[in-house]
Amino acid sequence: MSSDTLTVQRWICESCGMIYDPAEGDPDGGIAPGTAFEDVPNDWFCPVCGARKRDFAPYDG
Amino acid sequence: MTKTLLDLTAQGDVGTMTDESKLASVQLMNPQQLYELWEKQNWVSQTIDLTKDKEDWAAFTEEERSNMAWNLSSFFVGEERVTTQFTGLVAAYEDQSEEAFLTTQQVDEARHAQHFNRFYEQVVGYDGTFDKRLERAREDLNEAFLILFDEHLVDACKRLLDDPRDIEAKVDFVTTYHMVIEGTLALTGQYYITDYCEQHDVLPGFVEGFRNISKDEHRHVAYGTWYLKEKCQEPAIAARVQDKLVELLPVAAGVFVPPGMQLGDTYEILGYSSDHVNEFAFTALSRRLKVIGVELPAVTAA
Repeated sequence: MSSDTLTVQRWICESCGMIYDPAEGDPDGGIAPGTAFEDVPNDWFCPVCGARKRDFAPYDG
Repeated sequence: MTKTLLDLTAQGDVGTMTDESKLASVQLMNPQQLYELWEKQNWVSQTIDLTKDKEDWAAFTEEERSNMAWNLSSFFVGEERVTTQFTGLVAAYEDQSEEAFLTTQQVDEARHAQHFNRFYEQVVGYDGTFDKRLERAREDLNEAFLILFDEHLVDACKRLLDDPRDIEAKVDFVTTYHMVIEGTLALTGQYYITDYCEQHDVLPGFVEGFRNISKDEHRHVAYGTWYLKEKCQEPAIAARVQDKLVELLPVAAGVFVPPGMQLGDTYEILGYSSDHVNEFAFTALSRRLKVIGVELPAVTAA
């Protein structure tokens, strides 16, 4: 997977449907805009439901 | 001195890395979608293999057993409390999809209590009945826990049973249960207990069930977030949520405090610092409130 693909790939929380968009990041959770999901720390968690990073799956919708 | 959850909430909303939070625009699942997700994520508590858990428990030091028992007892008793005190919310459904979802949540809570009962019987070695094991587990709990679960939660349920159509009572219940008990306290405890067990490669059967419990609770918290976001479009309801948080957070801050410690003491829970645990809980609550669209009120001790 190219670095461009990594940067634009969105991820979805399988517990609540929250979508992580690298373009937006999660500033409230300490993740700057432009951060690829692969670079999000493992202790980051979903802002809606609290699911962990490993509970997210690639989202192409 | 450690910064307690209460100290952190005393500062209110401290802002974000950017001026505009994107969290308020997050698309949330509705109760019908959450119900359908429940069907896909169903699991069975009674067939989980606890063989290695028994060996691990026997190999723990007395201190490790004591620390783990204190952490797990709050979940065992908490799951039972919620199972019995959730009936009021089920009765307060506003449409058929919400009724279906809330019914699944009550079933989930009963299953969670079953997982803990089985663990306490087969691994911890508490003899007797389910009720007797619960009684023993209660001895591990602190006063703040009992105030939150035996008083605030019970009162919130009773008000809904008295009048299931009382929207203010429903908002109070969801704030008490989904935001404070489940979304701030339980998810924090789950994170650290699971992390500890995985890092130390212990209690695999317990962790298997606990991961499933966490998934259930993520779905529950997603419902609470959806519900409050809908209702908090009305400023008076948003203010009511803030008032309930001001009332409950001083109590909730004490739930994390282990035996022999006072609120504000520096301590470790399973090797994690009290500062780290409180910061995790605070971040979870403050971000979720942004999704709902309610500002975190500055909270001080009663």
